[in-house]
Amino acid sequence: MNLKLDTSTVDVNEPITSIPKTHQGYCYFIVQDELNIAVRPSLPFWINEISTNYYGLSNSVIGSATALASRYFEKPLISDLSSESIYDYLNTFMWQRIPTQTLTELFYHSTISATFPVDAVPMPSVDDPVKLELLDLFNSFDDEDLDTDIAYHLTNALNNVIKDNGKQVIRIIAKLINQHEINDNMIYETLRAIGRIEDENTKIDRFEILLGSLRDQVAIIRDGAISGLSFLDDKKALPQLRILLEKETVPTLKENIKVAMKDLESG
Amino acid sequence: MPYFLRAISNNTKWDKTQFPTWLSTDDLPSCIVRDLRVDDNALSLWEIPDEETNLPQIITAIASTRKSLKSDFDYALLNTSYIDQINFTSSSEVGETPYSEINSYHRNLSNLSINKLVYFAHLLCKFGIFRRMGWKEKKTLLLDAVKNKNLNLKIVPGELKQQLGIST
Repeated sequence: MNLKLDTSTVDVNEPITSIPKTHQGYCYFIVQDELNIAVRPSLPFWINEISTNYYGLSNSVIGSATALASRYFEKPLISDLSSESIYDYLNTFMWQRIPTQTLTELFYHSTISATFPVDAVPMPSVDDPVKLELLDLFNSFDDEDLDTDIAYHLTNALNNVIKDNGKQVIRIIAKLINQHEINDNMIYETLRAIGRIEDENTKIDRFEILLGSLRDQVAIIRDGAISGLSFLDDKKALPQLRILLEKETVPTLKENIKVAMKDLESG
Repeated sequence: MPYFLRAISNNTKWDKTQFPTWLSTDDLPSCIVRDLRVDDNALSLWEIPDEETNLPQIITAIASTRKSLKSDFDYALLNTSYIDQINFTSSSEVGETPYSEINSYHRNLSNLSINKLVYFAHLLCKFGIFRRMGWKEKKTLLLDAVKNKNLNLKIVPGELKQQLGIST
């Protein structure tokens, strides 16, 4: 797919130097209905980070990303494509997290990099009480034979911790998963639980964790993410699942991806 | 030939491409024992005719005993001929699911020694057909069964009824 860049608005070969240094480098496209762009070096944004730390907008994944983009693009950057096509295209970029130095690269490069969004978040201290609570919870379930009923209780327990402590729990869970601080089976069950939780306030953050885990080296963790996305029941996961279906080498997982896509497509 | 169905926790664990590298050829990882939990030395199976005509009902029956709606249903099918050829004891024992009409398809592989269980695991790994049904398809089956009054709702877990939006 080729995207048409509106060159009347910007110099496409200009290095993106006037963006603050901490936001140069890798591109990260926020999943949202309206497409906007934010960049930062080597690490993508956490959505919370944009909304709370960078521009300090209270609502504002969309607002902050727009603000960053609008510094450069006074009118739409991309034209001649349907919103759906652009969305699919940008989802591919999000998946691949492609490094860029110029606006041209931003739209026409082929280099691939992979980082996990939670790397942008400082690791909670060893004695962070919420982290300790989560580790206790995971340990308490670790001895269990995690059949579907026990997994149901794990979901409820995680849900309660999130209700009590808010979004920071999601960040900590993401770190625990990304750094494999809990074992693979528990990560698998946690990803599924993350998909089951009914909480609009943390839905985007949970979606991000699941997307990131689709690229894990461990098959069962990818499987947990596949199921989690199916349980989360958001069609925005479909482009990533399509990409994974093409890349996946484990036969059983390929079938499981098809099952998850069928569930998501069924509305 | 008909099949035996065994519900399993996760089909990926049975994928040979995912077996640990330290495992010797023709051996199996011990973690799959979890999917072969026995009760009174008997393994619970369900009989499926070769046309698989009762497969949706059997999945519905098993799913109706579980608390979580948002769970995939992973299962393995093994041609009954593998069981019949060797010295396994297969017996009918009426199932205890809320789907009474389907409970007669329940079988027990009984008098299982450790050696026989391991042998069964090898059979399943080598000849089994591993599948997954997604949670939405499962939900549709459950709701259809409720609508058609196939399930005894008194013994369906309350958590599942709540997620299905059933007040009874």
